[in-house]
Amino acid sequence: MNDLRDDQGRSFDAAVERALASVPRLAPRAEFLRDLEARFTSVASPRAVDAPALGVFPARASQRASSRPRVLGWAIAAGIAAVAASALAIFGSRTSDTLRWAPVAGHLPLSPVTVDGRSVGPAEFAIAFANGTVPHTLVTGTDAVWLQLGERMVCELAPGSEAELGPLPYDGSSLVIAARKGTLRVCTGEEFVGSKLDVKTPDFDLAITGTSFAVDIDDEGTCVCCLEGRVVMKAPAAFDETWAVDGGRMCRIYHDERAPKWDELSQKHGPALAEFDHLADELIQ
Amino acid sequence: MASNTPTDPPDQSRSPLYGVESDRGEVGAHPHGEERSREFREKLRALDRDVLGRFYELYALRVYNYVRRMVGEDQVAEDLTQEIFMHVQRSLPSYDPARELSPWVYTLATNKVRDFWRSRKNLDHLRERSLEELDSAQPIPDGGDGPMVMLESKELGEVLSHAIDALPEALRATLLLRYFEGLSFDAIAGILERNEDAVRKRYSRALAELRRVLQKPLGLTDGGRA
Repeated sequence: MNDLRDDQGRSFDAAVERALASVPRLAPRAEFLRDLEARFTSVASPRAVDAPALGVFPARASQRASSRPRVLGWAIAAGIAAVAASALAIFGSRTSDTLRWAPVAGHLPLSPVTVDGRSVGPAEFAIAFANGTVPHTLVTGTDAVWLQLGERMVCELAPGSEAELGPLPYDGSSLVIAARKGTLRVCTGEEFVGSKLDVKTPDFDLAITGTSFAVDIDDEGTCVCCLEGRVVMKAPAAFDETWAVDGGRMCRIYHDERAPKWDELSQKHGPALAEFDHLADELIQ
Repeated sequence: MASNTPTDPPDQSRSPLYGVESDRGEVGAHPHGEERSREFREKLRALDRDVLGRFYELYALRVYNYVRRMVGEDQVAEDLTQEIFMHVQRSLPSYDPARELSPWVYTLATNKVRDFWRSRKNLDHLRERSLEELDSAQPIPDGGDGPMVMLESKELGEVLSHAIDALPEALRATLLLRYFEGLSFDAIAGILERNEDAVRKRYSRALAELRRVLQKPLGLTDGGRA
């Protein structure tokens, strides 16, 4: 029994102690306790995810209203975009079963992009994708590159980033993107349901079947940010596990195999991913 | 009765707040020392699923009861408890496992309660209720053959429960953290941002108030003896 003593060392007698022992226990609703426990323990503990099978996760459910047009702010940008868009119209081709990556006309980079080791301008960049050749490595300059794969997905490679695109044409089966440096954001659409995207990073591989997420790679490690749905990743070899990042959360994994950190989407990553997701929705939903 | 010194936390294996004795696996059970192990706290920081679940078992009802006693409303207590656990969840990756768990948790809880009060100025009259109002606010049944016959255990519990709820905020928080949550005066001083002597005085005053309220039904004298 607890011992009631004041700061003078005096104590209550047994009668008072019995009275205190009869203070009723205050209990919240059982439903509240269960719900809170589920929320609290579903923090996506890295060692706690029940090794979900890769590729069995629900597709994104959101159908946001498209409302914000993206405006190219100056005339030269509009001119370059027009040229590039023309190139896309001339050379670009998609079919439902052989999709190819295509630059997004409203999001063409205004600064040079390194494609397979060669620096190209905006118009040439568009043509590089549309003339039938398949660019393999991309290194962005000071502008982001947006790529679209039919109605299935949109990717954004942020400024100062590097990625490798997997074999194309895409036949609806597994697609691979290797993120090497910087930030890669991906938004998948309803047509992506049943498809599979593997994203390889220096620290782990991701298996995606439908979500909106980003990977951010820096000198310390790689951050996986999930806006919606669930991203499943094969943890670094040192852990030999499968982890999951649910919508609204992020996981940072370190190159030196320190314990990962799990948290809610930060101000650094969340708004940028949400902005990308909003604009990408307009393209593929 | 145990022979704790005033500076030692009370025995946590039993808590009158949750009944005479809590089973180890019961939600709301008081910690049995495991939370004080460095390994437990390190696993908690690493968001180990089993330890997270155990932490919830240990603290869910304790935190709810503390908050509920402090704010006086079931729904508000649930909302704040949820906020506290989500805050704990977010903060765990940065939690220092060298730090004792209970003071950390109750510091977060106390801060949430304070935030609530700041946003609910209309509750000031409840918080600031004077000690002199205790008897009139919670009238104690009178009559009967003797003090201990007069009230059954349940009634005693209700009377005392009301008396605790009617304590001024500072005294109530001190009593709850010290007696029901078993924290040391030093830890409570850190949580309430007061020095240890002030916390001791508050605790002493809280006990004196309870003694006064219970004086009549239990036939206690001023010296606290029946």
